[in-house]
Amino acid sequence: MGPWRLELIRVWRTRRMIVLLAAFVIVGLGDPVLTYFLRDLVSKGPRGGVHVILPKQTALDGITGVAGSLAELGTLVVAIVAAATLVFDARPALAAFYRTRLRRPVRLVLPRYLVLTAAAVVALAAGTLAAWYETTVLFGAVPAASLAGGFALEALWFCFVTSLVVGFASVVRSAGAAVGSAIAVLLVLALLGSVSVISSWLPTRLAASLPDLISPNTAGNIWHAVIVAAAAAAVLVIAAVWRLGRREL
Amino acid sequence: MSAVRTRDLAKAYGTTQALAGIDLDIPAGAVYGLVGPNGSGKTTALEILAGLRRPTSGQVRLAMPEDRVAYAPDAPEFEPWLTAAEVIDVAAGLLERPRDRGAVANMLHRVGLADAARRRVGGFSRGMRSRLGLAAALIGGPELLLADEPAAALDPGGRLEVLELLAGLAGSVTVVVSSHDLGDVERICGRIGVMARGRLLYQGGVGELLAQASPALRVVIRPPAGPLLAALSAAPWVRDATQVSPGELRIDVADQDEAERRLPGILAGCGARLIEVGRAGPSLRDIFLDLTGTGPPRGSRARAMAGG
Repeated sequence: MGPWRLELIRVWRTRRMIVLLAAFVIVGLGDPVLTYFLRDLVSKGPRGGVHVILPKQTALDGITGVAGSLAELGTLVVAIVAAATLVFDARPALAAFYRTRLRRPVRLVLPRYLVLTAAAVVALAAGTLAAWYETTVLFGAVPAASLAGGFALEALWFCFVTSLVVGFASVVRSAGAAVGSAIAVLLVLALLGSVSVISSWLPTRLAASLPDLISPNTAGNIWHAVIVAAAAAAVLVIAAVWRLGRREL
Repeated sequence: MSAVRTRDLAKAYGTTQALAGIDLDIPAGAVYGLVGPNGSGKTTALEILAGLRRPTSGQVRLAMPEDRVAYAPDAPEFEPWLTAAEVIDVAAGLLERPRDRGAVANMLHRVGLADAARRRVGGFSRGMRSRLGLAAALIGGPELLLADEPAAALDPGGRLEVLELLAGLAGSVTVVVSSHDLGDVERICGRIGVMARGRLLYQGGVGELLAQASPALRVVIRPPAGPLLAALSAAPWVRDATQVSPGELRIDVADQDEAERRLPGILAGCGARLIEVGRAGPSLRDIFLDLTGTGPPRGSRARAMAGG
């Protein structure tokens, strides 16, 4: 059994695939429903004399709600699952098993990173399909090609998240430290997003990009963030391979 | 020809000197025992040879490519969601030396895990994981096997099986076994290295080491042996005297000629009823304690037991 098959078995038997699918599909199915009933929920809540007027929700609102939830819950779930998978040296005796057999660190890192990232993208695809179906049923047609484009941008975001985790996994030795460090960096990037000069260049720009290609108002300079995220992901993975190759057990 | 040769190999963890310049010389095909008390640097030495740690200074020369070096840690760990057979399959596959099911089953049979082949290793005992660690190390056809305390977690029967397995590799695989159990080492190793505090205190054949030991006598008298032990502990030609079992004494002798002349007098003086007297084989344990400086002071045992 080679490393690729081992990693496929890992995501299945450790139920990480199920956790990812469950998180993304629940968001994909649930969020459009929440959006659809938002006006009813608001009108039936305590108003205290305040009259709230909400515009009629559209398909774009449904997809935007899904994207917002995926940017938060989805990112957190992916970061946790990635850290549990990618911290190679958390258990020294297990690390010795791999390191004495996979002498080139690229063989240690790449299969695990790529299979885990692919699992996250598959879960995102399932969540996006669920959101597309639910939104179409509740609100009407959603342009599938534009949604597919948004999905591609969102997939790149999750590649960036797993790359960030693998980068930290080559520095720290516990899953908690890796996920904590990665989330801290993502929060800092989110804060930097408020600086208009650099906001369009930050990978966080892609975090809720499912509706970006549907809405002409938000498409903007998305390609800056695409280039930065793709380059950063590649650099982080290369750095992790280099660092893990140099690190002692 | 040497399979492993190190020169002035040193390793420091911060201010702690784990290895202080050791020169290992391990012949190809030998079963070599690396013995020493806890913290003597055995595991660090093995991990450096396995390529898991880098030495602070010194050289390591292996006569084989690094993918022909197998390492079995003292408490091996595996993915708990794999079965034992899958662990062996993975161990071979990661080395790009895939094995068929028959070879995997045969390897599990050799280490006594044939019945557990389809069980997930998450439920394995430490002893079973030790056996699986050896199987995972051997499935790749190593030229050098580094086994850290391979029998430490095993029951006496399992211990014997694993030691016989390792001894059986002699000639085809160079085996380096670290242990603080001298009985295990004496049983399977032709050559040993004795380590303490990061230093290699002795390296050579077990027989040569035993030959360096001071002579010893075995005296059996009808109990009680207290008066005789007390008399012996006061004799200048006695280095140490211990009661091995009721009435059976082991006397480490500082001066053989004096011992042969004076022992009958001491026996007579104590009124001891002599059953048997002869030479005692030197104990590797005593030599080890002497070398590593981890044993009780000479004579203390004689005094302690004289009271009983």
